[in-house]
Amino acid sequence: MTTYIFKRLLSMIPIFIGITIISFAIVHLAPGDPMTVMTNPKLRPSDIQRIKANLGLDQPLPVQYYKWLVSLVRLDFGNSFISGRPVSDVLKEKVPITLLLCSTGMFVALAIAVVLGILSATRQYSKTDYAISVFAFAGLSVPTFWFALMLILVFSVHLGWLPATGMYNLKAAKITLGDRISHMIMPVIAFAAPSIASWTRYMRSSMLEVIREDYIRTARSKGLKESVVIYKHALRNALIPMVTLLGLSLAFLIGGAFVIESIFGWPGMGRTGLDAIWQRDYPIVMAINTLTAVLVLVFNLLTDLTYGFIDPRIKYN
Amino acid sequence: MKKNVVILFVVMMVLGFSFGVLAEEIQEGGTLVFGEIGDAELINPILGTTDSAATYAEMVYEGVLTLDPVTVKPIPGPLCEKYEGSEDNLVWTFYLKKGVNFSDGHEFTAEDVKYTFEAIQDPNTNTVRGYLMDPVEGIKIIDDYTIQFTLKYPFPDFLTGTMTMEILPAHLYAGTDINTNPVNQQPVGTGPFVLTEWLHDDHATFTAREDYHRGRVHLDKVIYKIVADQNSLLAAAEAGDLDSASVPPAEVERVSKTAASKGLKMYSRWDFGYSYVGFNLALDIFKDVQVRKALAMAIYKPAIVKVAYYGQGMPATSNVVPGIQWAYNENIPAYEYNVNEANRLLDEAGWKDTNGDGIRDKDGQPLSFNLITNKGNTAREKTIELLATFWKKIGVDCQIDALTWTTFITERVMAKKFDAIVLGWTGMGPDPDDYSLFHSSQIEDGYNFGTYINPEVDELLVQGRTTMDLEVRQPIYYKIQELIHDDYPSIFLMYSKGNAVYNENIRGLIPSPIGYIHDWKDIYFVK
Repeated sequence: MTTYIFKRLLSMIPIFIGITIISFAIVHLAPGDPMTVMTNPKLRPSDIQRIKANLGLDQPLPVQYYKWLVSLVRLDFGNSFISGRPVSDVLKEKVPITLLLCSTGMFVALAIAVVLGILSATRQYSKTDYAISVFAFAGLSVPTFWFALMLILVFSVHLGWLPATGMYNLKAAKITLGDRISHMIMPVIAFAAPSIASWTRYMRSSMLEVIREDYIRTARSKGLKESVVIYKHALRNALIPMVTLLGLSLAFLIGGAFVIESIFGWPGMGRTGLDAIWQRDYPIVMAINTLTAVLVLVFNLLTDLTYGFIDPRIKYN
Repeated sequence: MKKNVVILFVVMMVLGFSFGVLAEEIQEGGTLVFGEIGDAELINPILGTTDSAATYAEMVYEGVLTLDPVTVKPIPGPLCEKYEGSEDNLVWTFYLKKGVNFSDGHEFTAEDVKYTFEAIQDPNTNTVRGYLMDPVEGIKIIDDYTIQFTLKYPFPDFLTGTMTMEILPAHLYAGTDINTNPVNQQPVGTGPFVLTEWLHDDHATFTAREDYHRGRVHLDKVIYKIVADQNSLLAAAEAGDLDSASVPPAEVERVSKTAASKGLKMYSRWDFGYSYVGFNLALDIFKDVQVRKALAMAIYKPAIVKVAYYGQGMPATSNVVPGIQWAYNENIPAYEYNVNEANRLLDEAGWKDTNGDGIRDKDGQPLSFNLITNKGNTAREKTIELLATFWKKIGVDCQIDALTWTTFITERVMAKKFDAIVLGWTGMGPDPDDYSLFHSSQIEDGYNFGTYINPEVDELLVQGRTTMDLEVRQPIYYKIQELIHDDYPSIFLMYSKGNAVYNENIRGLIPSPIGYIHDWKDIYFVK
């Protein structure tokens, strides 16, 4: 087991470096640079050249990459080109806000998907099953941004029930929990919708597979109650593929957060990342890319490891 | 008798109105919530590059001089008692206000002024405002409250541009790296507000200072809420979530009808912006001034103003905006729309349609070129379509394209890889000095993209920026406008007008080319 983890960790290093090289190249090859936004008839282009040199942007790309990598080893992401703030400060402010949205969204998606999946599977080909399937396919086909805009249109603009953007009411004297929750409802729903849709389908098929197993038949023939059969014996086994799914959808979810945060004005990492991309603020873009890459790599590893714990049939050597 | 009744009626009306105004009671306190498209990156007047950075800096920092909102001429600002210039306009002495404290309690002195301007000159400072210090030879502190600037040559923008720069606290910046100093995120200024909360990309809250040196302002707080785009900004103001929003040209007609019912009041102002067509004069077809003139005469500018800008502008005549009243040359015609004359000029220049395909040609070359602008700016995208239509009528083939901003600016405009462009300048400032746009030295290090060269204009531009006497400068700028008009290096299309809505209970706004709010002391809510 230890050797397995060690081997996996070792193999992550070249993958990680490869990811950073590719993203560094893509980020720098996009037309323009951090100075493009500063065009103004009174500014001297030579000033722009001087600032570029101050920021180290006049050096060849491989040198810039090497310097970036060296400071990364010291866990230093550098300073933003645009604001001069240490990138670690930016991340400290933004990552928890995004995690709040992502983790709530994932939890909600998982809870709903498992319940709907079980309902669907245990009542296969019933009206409930069809209804859930229709919702699932609709959820998969509807683009997230459109769904999010529709939510705003219906619940904020027409009904006026929920605030359209932001994290809390700025005009209120004190921030209450209710206020926080009301601001989270729509972003969380929009964030969770595509996951609910696809995970419901996975849960359904995984449950259906398990229900047909011999040990379920045995459990039933022992005279166990149907609820015990489903929730104790079947569910546990049916959840195993879901663990893999969760670990692997992480990258996809972070991508979704970028869109959701922009639409709902959620001041998290996604929005900061988008702004940084427009402004060509390379240190911030690279930090977010790196962080996402590390998260995905770590979650892949954790998925494989937990798999071994929850499914005793799997052995690593 | 009848006459008396009328007079009595008028008197009552006037009294009634004045009582109506007098009846308005100033509400002490209150929170203003404004929207910003995109958050400021930092709050430092030297380093900031975004509009929101400038807006935030004005909340906490103050300048030695400021601009009069109506005449746009420099006047002593909150930090200055008075100032004087020597006879030759080379030595300027500023008498600073005593008893002014930064928000951390430290006293403001001439040392802070000196530090701020020296920081602009420092090559390690990542500022794009180095040009402000070009004419400055030396800064001398006479005493704590008197500071003297010596110039290399008289420079008009020294007062309007350089000395209106807001002053940083030397005791917190001196000896540090200004680019990464944490004070950039937690500003300490002499201004009426302090930054009390800043969640980046969400909102920034400024709270009134009780110890502000000119007395506390009426408002309690000003909050800037970050919104995604122009549409959400206006929507939020119409929903009552924000106290103000700018109104894009396409929405002006609708909003002006509905504003009152939503508790909003509409304001308009002429800004310092204009849009224009720029030619690449290095290109063979544009070398001939006859061709450029013909192209200009084929354009019916009012149609562009009406269709692309929904009437929110006026046909432009020259490179100087009318807002700079003393320098704007009114004698230049706004437009000379004359298709017949345009056709005649092209015929005369040797461009004739010899092969009958509807496009003029000369020596086997068709009169054809590309016209580009930046994507996403719908007004400019409409403008290039209209221009292509106008030019087609005189047998000119114009291919249009809209490119993303960074590609457009870096790979085409700055690299001079274009035939013709539609572009605009905003925020040109209150001085008519267009040295960086039309002087031949600015082809290399400047914004003379079209490579315009006219030695007479060169000489006048230098004369104009090295004298400070308006009576001497006026004929210089009149002449420059005439020469540039006759050379047609660019066709000036439209002077732009800005529109905005504000909460109808806000008082103290003065629409001017430099904005609506000029002094926070003047801004208050009425009950």
